[in-house]
Amino acid sequence: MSKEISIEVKDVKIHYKMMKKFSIQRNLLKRDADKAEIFEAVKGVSFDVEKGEILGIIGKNGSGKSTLLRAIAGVFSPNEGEIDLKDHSVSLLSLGVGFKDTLSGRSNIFLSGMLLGFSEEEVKSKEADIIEFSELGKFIDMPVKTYSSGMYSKLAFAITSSLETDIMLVDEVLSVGDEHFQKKSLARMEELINDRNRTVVIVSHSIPTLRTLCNRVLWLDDGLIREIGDTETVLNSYETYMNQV
Amino acid sequence: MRFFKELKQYWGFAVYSAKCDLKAEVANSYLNWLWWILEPFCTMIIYALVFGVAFKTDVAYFPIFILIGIMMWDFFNRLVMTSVEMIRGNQHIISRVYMPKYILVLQRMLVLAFKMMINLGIIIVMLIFFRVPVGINILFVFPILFVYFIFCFGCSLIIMHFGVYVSDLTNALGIILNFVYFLTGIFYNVQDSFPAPYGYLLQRINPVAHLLFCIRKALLYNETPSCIMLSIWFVISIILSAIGLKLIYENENDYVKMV
Repeated sequence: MSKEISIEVKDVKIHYKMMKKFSIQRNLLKRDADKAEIFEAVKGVSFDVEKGEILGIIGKNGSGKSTLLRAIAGVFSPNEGEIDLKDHSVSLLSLGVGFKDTLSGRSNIFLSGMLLGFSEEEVKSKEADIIEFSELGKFIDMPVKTYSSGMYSKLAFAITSSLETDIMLVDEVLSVGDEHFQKKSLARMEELINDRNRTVVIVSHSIPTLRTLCNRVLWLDDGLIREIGDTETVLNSYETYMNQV
Repeated sequence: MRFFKELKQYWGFAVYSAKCDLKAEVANSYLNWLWWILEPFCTMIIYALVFGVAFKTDVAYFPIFILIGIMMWDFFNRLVMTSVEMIRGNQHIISRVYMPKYILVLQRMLVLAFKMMINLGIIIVMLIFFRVPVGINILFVFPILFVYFIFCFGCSLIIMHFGVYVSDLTNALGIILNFVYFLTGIFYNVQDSFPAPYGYLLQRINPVAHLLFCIRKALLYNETPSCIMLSIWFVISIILSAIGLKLIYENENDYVKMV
């Protein structure tokens, strides 16, 4: 039985130009051209993710995990290769996208939602849910800059987790707030992730989190795939490797 | 075309975001939205005092003449100045979600256009107050502003692009804008103030000065602005915008990665 593929990543390479800023003043005074150094963060990665699958990406710091995730989210396109999402809607679950501190929590729900590609009506239909989930009560009409960091992340979490897309990309944001809210948000995350129709890619350092959530794990090492496959197998070899170094 | 498709998709966000900015601007100030009227009005009074009384200008309806100048200049000046830092200032958004970068300029234009409309409102009130004879030519305000918006859009896109790479562009631009300001004739008539061919040329070569000249003709003197010049600047503005869009689409991947 062939399964429907949701994300297709083909030979993706992403580099950063380590460029020094050009300055008129500096260039007028001495004429040394700043050379751009190229740093390759992802060096040719290919994999598919099936619809409904939960893929974990693990790897040490600087291995290109977040870069790859942002490329899948469309924040930037890869320098080489292709990422095909087969017309699914996608969102990178990150907290507080597009927040403006001087505006009320309510306005920020709309700003953030519309920035993530939802229409004003769609956000409006979720508004009540978001406010209730965030537990902010009357603070929702206060400027965000007056919020405590806990309140801020509660609101941000409520927004991102209420606006559902076909593909959800998660970068280490699994629980926020106090202990009560942490449980609640974790439950919400699990509910979202376990939806059979939703494809999820999670980037994390935490082996236990990936072990409980994922169907499959990709181990990214220095911009290349070191291992991809069954959760247990990959995580075990990753663990052994990490204990050695 | 990609531009129009994305424009449709993100227009709602731009409008909502502009509204929010305007609301936030007045939410915590004592005089609230009155500032939007007081600011241009007071600037006009200062100019009228300095140039009308101290320098004894002979321009007819001088306060309105100045107010039109301020209205046009403020829009251009504020937009271009904020465009330099636009990508850097919105790094927290563009590094986490894709958006066409020109939406940032558009959002800012909506905010400034709203203020411009208030300014225009004051001008109309003053036209009535001073019993300035107006005629059908006043309708030229719309095509003139349309060309002006496209011109400013194009300029800002190009400035925004270079603002990402050139760290001291703000300083350089400050000086250039100051120069352009004096060559635009906010408080004097460009055409009459420079010796023979230069005034005439400057008024046509400097787009801000020319469109200002046109809109003053339409609003204040009930004269028909030159449609040929307006068309020429319209075409140039479209070309500028196209160049700006091309620059931005080609380089937007790098904006995100630049820190």
